[in-house]
Amino acid sequence: MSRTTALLARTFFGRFFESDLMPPGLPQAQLVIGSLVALAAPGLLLPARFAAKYLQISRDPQLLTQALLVDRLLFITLTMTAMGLVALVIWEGVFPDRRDARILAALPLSTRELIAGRLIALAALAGIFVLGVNAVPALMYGPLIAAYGAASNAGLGLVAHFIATASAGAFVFFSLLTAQGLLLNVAGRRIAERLSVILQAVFLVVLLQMIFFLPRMGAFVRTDLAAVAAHPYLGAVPSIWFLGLYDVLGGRQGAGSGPFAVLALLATAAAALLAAGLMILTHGRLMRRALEGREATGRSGRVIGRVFGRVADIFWHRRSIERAAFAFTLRTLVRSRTHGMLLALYVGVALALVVSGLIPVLLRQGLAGFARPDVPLLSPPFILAFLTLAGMRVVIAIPVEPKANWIVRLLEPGDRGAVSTGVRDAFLVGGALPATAIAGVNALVLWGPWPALVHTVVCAAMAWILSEVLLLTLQKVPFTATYYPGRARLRTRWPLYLIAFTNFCFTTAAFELLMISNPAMLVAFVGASGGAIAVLSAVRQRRAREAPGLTFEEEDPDALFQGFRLSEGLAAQRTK
Amino acid sequence: MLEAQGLTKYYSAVPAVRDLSFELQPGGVLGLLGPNGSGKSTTVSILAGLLEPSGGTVRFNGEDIRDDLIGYKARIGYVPEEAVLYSYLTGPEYLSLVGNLRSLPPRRLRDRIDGFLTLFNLQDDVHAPMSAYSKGMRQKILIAAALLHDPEIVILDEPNSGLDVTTTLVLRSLVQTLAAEGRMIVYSSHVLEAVERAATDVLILHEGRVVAHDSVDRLRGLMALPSLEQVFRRLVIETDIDAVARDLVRTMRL
Repeated sequence: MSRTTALLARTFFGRFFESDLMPPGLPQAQLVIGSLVALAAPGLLLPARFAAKYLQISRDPQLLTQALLVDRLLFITLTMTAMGLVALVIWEGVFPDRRDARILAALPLSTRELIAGRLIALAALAGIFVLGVNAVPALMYGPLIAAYGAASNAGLGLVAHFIATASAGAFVFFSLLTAQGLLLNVAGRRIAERLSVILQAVFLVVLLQMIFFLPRMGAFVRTDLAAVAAHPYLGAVPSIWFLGLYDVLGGRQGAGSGPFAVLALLATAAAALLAAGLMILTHGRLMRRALEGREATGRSGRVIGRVFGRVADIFWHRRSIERAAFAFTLRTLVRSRTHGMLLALYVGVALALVVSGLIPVLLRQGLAGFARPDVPLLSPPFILAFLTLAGMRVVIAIPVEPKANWIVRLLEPGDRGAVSTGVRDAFLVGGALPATAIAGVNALVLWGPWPALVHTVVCAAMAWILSEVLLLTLQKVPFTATYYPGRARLRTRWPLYLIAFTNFCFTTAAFELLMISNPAMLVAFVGASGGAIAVLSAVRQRRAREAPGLTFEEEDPDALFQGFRLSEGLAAQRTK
Repeated sequence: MLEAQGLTKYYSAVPAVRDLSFELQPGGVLGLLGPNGSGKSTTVSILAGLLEPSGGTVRFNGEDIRDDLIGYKARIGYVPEEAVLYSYLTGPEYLSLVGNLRSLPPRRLRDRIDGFLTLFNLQDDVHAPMSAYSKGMRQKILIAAALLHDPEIVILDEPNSGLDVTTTLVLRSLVQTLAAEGRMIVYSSHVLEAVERAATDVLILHEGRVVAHDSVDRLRGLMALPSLEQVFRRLVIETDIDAVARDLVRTMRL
């Protein structure tokens, strides 16, 4: 490896961590070690717990066999999720972008050196994380399964664990990179950048779903993978392929494992080769495109936004400050990649919870399970509304382009109540409306007009109340103030949030069942919730008006959050 | 009248501006000149109400601007030194944000935005985010945002940055027209020629202190020098410019 290639590899390795999701300014080693510890922690803790469990159930061979299969599947799933998260974090820095092109194209470097540098950096990153996440669990868990007969000996157990989990991680990692490479080449960077947030959210949902789905798999893997192989869909779940590989490498191959093992190896090789091939074959093209391309104009979307804005101006917002706060909040949520990605995390978790709640109904009763409204079927819009609105509240506290906030400081609105009302309206449109629409349409299709009406009204009212509650303490113009972490006090208040979440989603759904059968209760609910909204709205506006002024900078500069390259503190340092 | 009295600003005990005073009458154009780090941008930020001075006051029509800062800010238009904008917004969206924050009536705001975009030749880029704009295009948006509400005071900090020749000339004429209509203009720039042509008074800063404050003609006359550039050189520049250029070339060849 030449000095230039090594230098490029080091540079590209550093670029991987310049994602919007990673804090800037941290030493690279600290970032890598911190991420590794976070991702490896579950795998490090599990072997000891499993050892105790196997000892307990060792007298029941069938139960032990099943536990050994499901637990190995858990290790595989955890590694896949960890490597998937790594791939999503470095997503933006893998293929050459405009900045790379502008800096590197002007230097006397060959395409071969650039590609080699990138591939080495990618391989190093994948290697570090695969090794870091799996090496210690392999040392601990490999010999353990050998002791209980799931591997021929301790050495094979160790090798089987490491290769199976590492291949699974590599498969997810390179598959995601391949997906990004294909997207960039087929759709171009403009569309790719727009779609990437959606895609990342989808991948996140799938990755989380793999964990939520795990307990259900136990029913299918009792003694071996034969039942899975016979199932019409389960054989398509990638983690099962790697469980087959684990089985084969351990030397105690069960029925149905062989074909899955072959599939696992082929899939890993294909994903790695495709990612590398895309990098090699399209690097020059992407560099050229990055230099020549203009950014998206998005005419149609902006025209729709403009028309919608006019309609909102005419029928809705009478105060111009409300209009400004409303449009600015929604536009930033839609267009800022960082904020969009963070919000997508919340929506992703919501969708994962919704899917994991519905799958048992589907598995137990099939489509007949959806014939009548029930708590698991009524709760999804509430889950979606709760997590989306909570996510929006978190996200609006994080600044966007902090140096640009001079204009808001210069034009600090005197009517602060109008600011919070504009933001509330953005919450209603961005968080409450989609959840309510989903609730209404689904209920209409599944159960008819009356349940649909009840479901829509209850969902809209609850989402509105939640929006008001979340904005009671808002003293800022969204996205313009410094972020002071820890305000939510998650460490101490999490039981409160959990209670709020379960009541909002499930108690309300149970209550709604009663309203469907008793219209008088719906009338009472509408009256009560209308009153609650009026009171909360008045309190919110009064608090905003009585505040001494809008907050733009937090008082404790040492505690400034320095993530996302958005801290006003950092911006100020750069300005000086 | 805009009046600064004994303005002083410290950043962590380091003085950026010391004891700066001036008066600006309606129709006046005050040119702020000085090398990098002389305190121009700090002064401009204080005048725009963005920074609080460590000492001294800024008065507008006899009232301390700090007594009603929001009211004062409603009457100024400000073009900052750096074109920092919410780059994911389009030009019209940004202007709409500014206009709404200034509580302009919707129809008037739309008409003015359309007018500015047409006059600045930005109609073809109304659907593009400002991240795709050139430096000059962004600067035009900043100038439009500063003029959107017909301000009484216009504060321009390096307004020529990135502008093409035509727009630079338009801007110069615009400053003179606004002044002729009785508005007060504060014009901070490195482009000495632009200030010389537009300003009625010049205030030259060096290391945070005022080293000269008078009309351009009087400064030239007092120092017996033919141009503002030579006045500036004499007062502020302590470096042998030609020697530095020669040293740079020599270093290039080391």
